[in-house]
Amino acid sequence: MYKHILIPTDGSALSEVAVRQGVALARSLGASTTAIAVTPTFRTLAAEPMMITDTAEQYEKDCKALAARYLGSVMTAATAGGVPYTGLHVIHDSPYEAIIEAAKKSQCDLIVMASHGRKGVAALVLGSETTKVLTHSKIPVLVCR
Amino acid sequence: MTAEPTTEGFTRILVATDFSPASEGAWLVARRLAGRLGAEIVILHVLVEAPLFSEGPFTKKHARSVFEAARAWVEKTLGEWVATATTAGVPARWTVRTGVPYKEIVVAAESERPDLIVMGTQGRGGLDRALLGSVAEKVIRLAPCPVLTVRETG
Repeated sequence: MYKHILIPTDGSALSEVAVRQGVALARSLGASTTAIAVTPTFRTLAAEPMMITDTAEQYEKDCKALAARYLGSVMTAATAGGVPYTGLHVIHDSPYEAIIEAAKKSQCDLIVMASHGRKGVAALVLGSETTKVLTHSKIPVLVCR
Repeated sequence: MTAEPTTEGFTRILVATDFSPASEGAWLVARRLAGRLGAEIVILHVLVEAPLFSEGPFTKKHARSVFEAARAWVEKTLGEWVATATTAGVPARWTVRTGVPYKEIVVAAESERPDLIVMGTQGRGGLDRALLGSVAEKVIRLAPCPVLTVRETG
């Protein structure tokens, strides 16, 4: 059965649900977990307000801190459940590509993620990144909502 | 490794099948997961009784017999699947519904209250990308529980 579960997180309330579910499943199956947080690359012409006011160095530092916070909650859950845990912070403009690449690189055999993340507004709409992961992932995807 | 039940454990798994290669993969995954987690399996197939061409007052009986034959085959096959699972020590039962697949899967999930739905998906990329607007995507959007999608090759 599944031996290595990839859990993408963006720190949103719903991704916390996926974290809990992913860790619980890993625990029942005796699998290990890798959590991944993706932050966009720095641009001078940017949509993120953080990028406009910051220097590249400061931005990178802030992203790292943010990712560490998101990953921290997965680590806490994994440690509490006695589940092996690895945290990944990837800087990439396209979260779904980063997620699929990480799944390949870490040889994960299952992705557990939320139906939508920060950008998801309506509950009836599937998140764009989740849809893309579903479309492109060769390995099974468990979508929580 | 003991699979002790957790509050967020999976005790009932609904697996939806249309007998495609991808859904056979889903069935395999559901069986293995249920075995490991000590869960019960409910296998669902949705019969689609599409109006047949040239169906009219004189052929209605014939169309009916086609549907009945399909239903008989489905019930026999699902019966065999259940037997396979039960022999392997995994409690299982089947249910058949008639209608629009994604709607019936959601309705079944609402009444069976599974902790997880497992289903196959074609999941195409590239030019066929639009095609993931499929049964699986609709079920994920509307289902009351997590959904695990499995590829043909997975």
